[in-house]
Amino acid sequence: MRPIDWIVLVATLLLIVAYGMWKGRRQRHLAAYLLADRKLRWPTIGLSIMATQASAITFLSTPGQAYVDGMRFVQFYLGLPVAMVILSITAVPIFHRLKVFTAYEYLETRFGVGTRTLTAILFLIQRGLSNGITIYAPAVIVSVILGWNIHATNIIIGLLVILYTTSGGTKAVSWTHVHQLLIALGGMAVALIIAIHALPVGFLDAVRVAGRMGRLNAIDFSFDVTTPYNFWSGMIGGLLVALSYFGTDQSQVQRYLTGSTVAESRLGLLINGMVKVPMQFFILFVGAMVFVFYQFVAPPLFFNSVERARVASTAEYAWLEEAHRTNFVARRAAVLEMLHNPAATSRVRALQREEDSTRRAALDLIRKKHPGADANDTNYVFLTFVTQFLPAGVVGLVLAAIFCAAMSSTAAGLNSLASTTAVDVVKRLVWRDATDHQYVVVSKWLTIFWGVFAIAFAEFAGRLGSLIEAVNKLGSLFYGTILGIFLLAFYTKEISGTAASLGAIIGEAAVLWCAAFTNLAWLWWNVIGCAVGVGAAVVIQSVILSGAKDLQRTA
Amino acid sequence: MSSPFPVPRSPRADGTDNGERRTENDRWRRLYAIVLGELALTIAIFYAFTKAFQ
Repeated sequence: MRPIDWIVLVATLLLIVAYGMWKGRRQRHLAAYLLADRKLRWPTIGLSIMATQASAITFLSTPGQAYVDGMRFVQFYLGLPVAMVILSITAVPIFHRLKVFTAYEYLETRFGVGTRTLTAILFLIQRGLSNGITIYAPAVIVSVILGWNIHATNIIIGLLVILYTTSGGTKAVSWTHVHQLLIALGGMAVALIIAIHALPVGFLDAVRVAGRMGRLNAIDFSFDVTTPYNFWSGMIGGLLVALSYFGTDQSQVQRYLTGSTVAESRLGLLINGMVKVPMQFFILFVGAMVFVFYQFVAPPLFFNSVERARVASTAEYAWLEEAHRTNFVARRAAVLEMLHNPAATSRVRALQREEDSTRRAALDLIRKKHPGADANDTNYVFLTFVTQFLPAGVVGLVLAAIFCAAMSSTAAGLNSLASTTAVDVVKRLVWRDATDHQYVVVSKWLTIFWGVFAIAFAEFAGRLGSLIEAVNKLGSLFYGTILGIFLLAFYTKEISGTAASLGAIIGEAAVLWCAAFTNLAWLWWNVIGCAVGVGAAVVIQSVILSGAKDLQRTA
Repeated sequence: MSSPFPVPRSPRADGTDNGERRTENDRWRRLYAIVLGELALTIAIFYAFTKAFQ
């Protein structure tokens, strides 16, 4: 990091925080503090929705994903536009008509306070933990690559977010989202342009290299439930994840509840549906170009320098390094030949397979020496490239982009956690006769509480090691079941709260069974949870509960 | 900021007549079709992109 990088980074972050505090000043009523007075327009809502979903790990890990596995990850988002249309037709008018503050408030009107509280608590657990990971994930990557103190990074990100989220509430969060997303995408665009410019071959040749080496595999129509990313898992599993995330997760629902009309909220969701897939394609494409760059400039065998240092002195690693170097020289020559002679493609692919197996062997060695090692090297690819090859100033801009992304999703998380605790727990169950101003004060303290909780969990997350991936999958363990409850609420009139709750328990048991005893890819857990939960509730209502009512009537 | 889309007004609980409501619904249907059409086009482009550079 050079002085100009520090200036760009610090100035960007301070400006964002100051802007958030200024934009969200004087919020005295609960509707103003939690829903920006329901006055936002669709461009702000749309960008806020996108910024909430795009965390730092999206910008750090997604290019690395393309580097290692190609662009097929984009298929995960194919169901999202369909979900935006479904939610615009169903959820948005209902939430607006009832003037709810949270998605869970709606469940009380349909199933009673028990279901509302249960779903709100499930959300608080899941979002409370994942917010800690949202802070921790970029902090650990930045600390490994730049040598920063991870505890200080966690605390600084957390405190900056707490500052403007507490003082300005939802208005500050939504308006800063607009600038944070633009900075994040701008940083990625600059990184892409410079990566392409640094290539020793032309742009079209670079795309050809990426394609022939299997890094532009954006669409795969083969149906296989054990692979996470193909057209079908994206359209079915991805659709249910998106329905659940955007329709039942308060961190997203709160974004479009700020719309001044149903039309503004709908347009915010629909613009997200139109932009999200191309945006993810663009981020993955950056990774594909970084992959091509490393065909001409020798990459490290293992990008995570901390894990690499642990085994660097061993004879096995030295042998693997030698194999990696030899392979790189042969592969670079073969790639250059491939540009003129397509017949060399098979040789390039064979060398790439050899390189992949060398990387796997290095990973196995690291795992063997340190069982708790961070094995997900994809997270370190992009930032290694940025810090080593981008010019002064641009490094600061890309880091600012990553921090902006971390802050945007954390802020939405804190905002939604405070809203749900204030409205669904405090206002509904604990302190029902407080004034509007008192609820605003409570919400502010709750924002601080959840912020401190997130920082504390981020500090603890370091001890979780490779379990972080498991925590990220936690959402898919619950999303399907929660979505099932909401689908029953939206589309059925006969199902009671008891049947919905029992169905949810059965659906959750089915998901846990699939996760523990089958190799079903995790996207499909959402489908199982939703389908089993809804099916069980319908059966329970129509066979058991209706039968019991009939018996009572007869008696 | 003015909208690039045909922005319909939100549904009203008051006495909006049926013709007006039908026009409004038609506008939304067109917008939903645009979103889904863009998705179909994107998938087709991605597929062509995958095949072209394979």
